[in-house]
Amino acid sequence: MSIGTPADFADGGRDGRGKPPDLFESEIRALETACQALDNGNHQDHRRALEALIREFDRVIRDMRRLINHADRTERELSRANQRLTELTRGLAYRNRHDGLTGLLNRETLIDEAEALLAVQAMALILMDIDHFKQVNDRYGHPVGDQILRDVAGAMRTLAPEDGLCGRLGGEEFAVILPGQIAGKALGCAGCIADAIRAVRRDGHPGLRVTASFGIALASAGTSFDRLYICADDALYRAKHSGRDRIEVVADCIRGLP
Amino acid sequence: METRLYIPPSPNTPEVDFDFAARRLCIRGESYPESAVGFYHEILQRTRDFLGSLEEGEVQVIIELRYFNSSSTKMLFNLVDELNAAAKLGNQITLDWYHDAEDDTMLEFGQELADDFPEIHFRTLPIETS
Repeated sequence: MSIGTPADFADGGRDGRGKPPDLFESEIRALETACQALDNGNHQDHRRALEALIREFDRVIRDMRRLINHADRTERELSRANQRLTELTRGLAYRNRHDGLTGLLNRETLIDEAEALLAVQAMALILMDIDHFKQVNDRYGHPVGDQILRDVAGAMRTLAPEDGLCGRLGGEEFAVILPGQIAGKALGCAGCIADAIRAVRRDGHPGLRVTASFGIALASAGTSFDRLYICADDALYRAKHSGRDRIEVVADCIRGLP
Repeated sequence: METRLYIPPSPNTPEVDFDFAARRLCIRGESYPESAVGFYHEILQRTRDFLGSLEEGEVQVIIELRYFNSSSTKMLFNLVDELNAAAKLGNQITLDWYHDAEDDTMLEFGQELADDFPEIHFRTLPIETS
């Protein structure tokens, strides 16, 4: 009787020709010894060979059980690590697009979105600047100033139309972009935000009042965003220099400025 | 026989410091070599030779691995098997299994080895990381 040679089944098994030893070298050696004894031996040898095989089989089962347990634990760990990585990536993507203080879109993201929208669709840009904000910070402290910025952002988020996008351009300057060249819609939005800002109050600072100035510009599809931004900024400048706490509009960017 | 086997650590292989003269065998680091069989072959062979020369001796083994892949796991079994065989022959084998205090996977692996090889004096030792 011949039961073959276990090394035949080994991956890169020991064949004496310089191949690296097998991962299961010791088991293969034990099986080879047992197989030879079964092939050549008498009844007593057969019994010893079978006993050796049983011992090896028992050991391999134990090894396999530990190996599989370890692999399972490692897989679970890997799965948890992947989950954490996904959450971190998601968090990083969010932080990359949003302003850390207010949670609104950051400047780069808002401009990217505006450029993409304006390439295919008419658009209104509302620029907004909180009046005398430096004095708020100087008089009430930066923590109060930061809270005012968050209050303003909250008002914008609540009051801007669903199809609008709100962002913080930097400092106390904010913007809303609205699809469509509809002055009434943009004026309505800016007016509601202006009212909400006037209503902002802070506990412990009864004298604190906040207002903002607005510049609105509207443009048809295909207008460059830079052009729209210049128009809105010009309107904002006029609002500031006409006494603040007001809204100025450039209805058509192409004809609105020289 | 050389009295020491030292293999410096690499990004994917552990530091191996087997001081046979002092009867102190240490493996530290991470183990995911391209060929676990190739990497551990000499380690196992030298350990086998060393253990074969022992007569009721005492050996301290320190394993401090943060990560090992499946092939390395099998090679570790082979190493512990050799140690276990030496323990059965009357040698005192102590195996200190260090693991990150936060790493339950490594702790459980060490505990399984301790359960399967009661003749080796196993200690699982947490390492506190700040």
